[in-house]
Amino acid sequence: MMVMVLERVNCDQHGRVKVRTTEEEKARIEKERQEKVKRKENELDTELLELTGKVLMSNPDINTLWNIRREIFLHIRKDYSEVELTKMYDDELSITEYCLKKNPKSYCAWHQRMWVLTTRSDPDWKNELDLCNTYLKLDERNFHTWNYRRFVVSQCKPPLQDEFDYTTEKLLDNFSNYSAWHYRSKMLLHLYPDVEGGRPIQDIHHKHELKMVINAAFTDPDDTSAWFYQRWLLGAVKTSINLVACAVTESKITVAFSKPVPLGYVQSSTQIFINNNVLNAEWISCCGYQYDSLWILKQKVDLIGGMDIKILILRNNKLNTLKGFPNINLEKLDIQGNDEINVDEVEQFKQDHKFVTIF
Amino acid sequence: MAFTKNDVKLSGDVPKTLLLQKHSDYLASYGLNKDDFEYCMTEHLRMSGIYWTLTAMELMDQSSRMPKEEIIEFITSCQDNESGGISASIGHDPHILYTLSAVQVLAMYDRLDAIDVEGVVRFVTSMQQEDGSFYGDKWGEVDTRFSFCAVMTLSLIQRLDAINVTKAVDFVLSCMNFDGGFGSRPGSESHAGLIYCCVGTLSICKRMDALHADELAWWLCERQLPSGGLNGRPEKLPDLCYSWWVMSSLSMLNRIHWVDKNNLEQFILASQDAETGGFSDRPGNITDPFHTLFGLAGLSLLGNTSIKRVNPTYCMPQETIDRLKLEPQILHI
Repeated sequence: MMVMVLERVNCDQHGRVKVRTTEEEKARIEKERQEKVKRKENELDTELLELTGKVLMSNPDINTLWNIRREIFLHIRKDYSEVELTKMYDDELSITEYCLKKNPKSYCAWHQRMWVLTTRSDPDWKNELDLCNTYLKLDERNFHTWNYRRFVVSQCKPPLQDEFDYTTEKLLDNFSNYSAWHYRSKMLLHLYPDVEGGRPIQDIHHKHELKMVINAAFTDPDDTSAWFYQRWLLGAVKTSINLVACAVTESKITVAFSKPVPLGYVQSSTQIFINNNVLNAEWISCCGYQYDSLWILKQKVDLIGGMDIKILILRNNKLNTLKGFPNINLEKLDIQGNDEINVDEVEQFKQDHKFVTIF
Repeated sequence: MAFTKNDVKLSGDVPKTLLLQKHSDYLASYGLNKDDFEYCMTEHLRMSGIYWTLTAMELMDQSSRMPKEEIIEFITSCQDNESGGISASIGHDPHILYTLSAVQVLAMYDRLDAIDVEGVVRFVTSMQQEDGSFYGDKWGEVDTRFSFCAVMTLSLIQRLDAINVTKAVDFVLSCMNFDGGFGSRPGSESHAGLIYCCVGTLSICKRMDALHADELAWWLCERQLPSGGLNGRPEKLPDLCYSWWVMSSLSMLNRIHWVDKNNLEQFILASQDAETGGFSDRPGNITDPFHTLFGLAGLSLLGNTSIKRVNPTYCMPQETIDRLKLEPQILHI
């Protein structure tokens, strides 16, 4: 289905100019057909390794052929010495490298590489990181290479500062490298998270990053990469959940939060008291979703003057008491954004919602 | 709109009207010659090929030109009894990508009885990992594409309850980036195709609230280039299939008007091949069923009434989604 797009990207579907089919290519298909026959005979041996290898080197996206190879490796490895196994896995890495030169976006070839590295007992992660450096020189935006780099880093755990410095190097080479900006944002969040304030990263680094953006913008103002990064630096503010409004009618009590929250949050954070008696009805999402901004407490309330209604809410792990429903007045309603208040409308509104408070 | 050096120029002689008959003829004849090189080289993704072709035909109301019974029989024979998964073609190994394609095709034909549905449930649930992610098959590749395949497959057979949906959603959300977009794994760069998969997952799981809708939609609409076409990442060339990945995401976000629809329509129409029929990735290139579907589906989202309405989450005719009583979530604000 459509998810195949990404796989399809690798299968020569994109950017192809019209060309004629060659006899040579037809021969390849014949070979591919032979493979399947072979497997049915259950000949999991080195000959099959060679054959599948040949087909994959011309079309690295045939997933099943890689599966066959993995099965063979798992099957024969008990009969091989350490030295032989090392050679076998090295050869497999060479085949994936050949395939990746042919199609640098082959999901299958990249995954085979990951499989080999995590299956063999003697992975050389330094070599893999070098390979990433080389490939990212050839194509600095190949997201497969970047993904593979993240995998390698997760395995061999170099200092993340090195990875951060690598993004600086890539960006100074070309500010238009969106992949590097992206990776940089991830490294910053790991290295210098801002635990206290509202920014994504610590202030001193935040300032430094803004300077980087200015440099990038002056170098190439038409490039959008740095602008997205700047938007993140300036726009990403941690938002807390607030109770922003509450309306009480004869049949129900409705509360609005500043962002969608789940039922569990409403239950554990919000309690409504009428004349000091807590209401224990069930909360229902307004739209019927798991997460919602509007939650309704179905509860009959006899609205009479002078009653004491209060909401107890847990905000930033502190309990706050909000009172004042009966003290509704025009100024309060004005906060809703009605600059010019139509007195009739307000009267109607007050009748519909006996008590409304906006926090 | 992005100012970019990577774009194409539309020449004066590109098609400007929709050539429906040509496309229908092109797809009807595609695969008739089973020894055709192109056909053989794509055997490893045959099941998806059938999905692309049938959906395109359905959208053009021409699906009667497809060999229905042959297709259904083929799908039945591609199901692996042991794992329950479905493969791209006979003799290939089962994979979640082709399991979804097969289920989509059978859903359109209203013939889900042709496969062992419980087997599909068994296969898909066995792919979910502790962190909520999904493998594509038993060999352990993880990708948000597979999360989408899993929830879409199960929802089409009304068995979304079979997996841990909360964990599936949490994994997808762990792939969200600084720009509001998503990549294939946690830490991966945003990519319009994967954004579609992740937004689609949230749409099916009814958790669209978790998105940063404005940030994400801004990034998505910036994919439009002066040629009218859309790219999949900043500073990349336009490609017709992003008319689907980007526009379907924007549709689910209820912000489709953030792109210049007329310009995009011109680009899509220009990507038709007036001689052979079908659409290609960019004007002048070779056509294929994959781009033909996404060209048509893109035009449907843009409101072209000579094509049936497509559902932005499922990339299937809306009438099929209605018949199955599925209600993927669309953002209201």
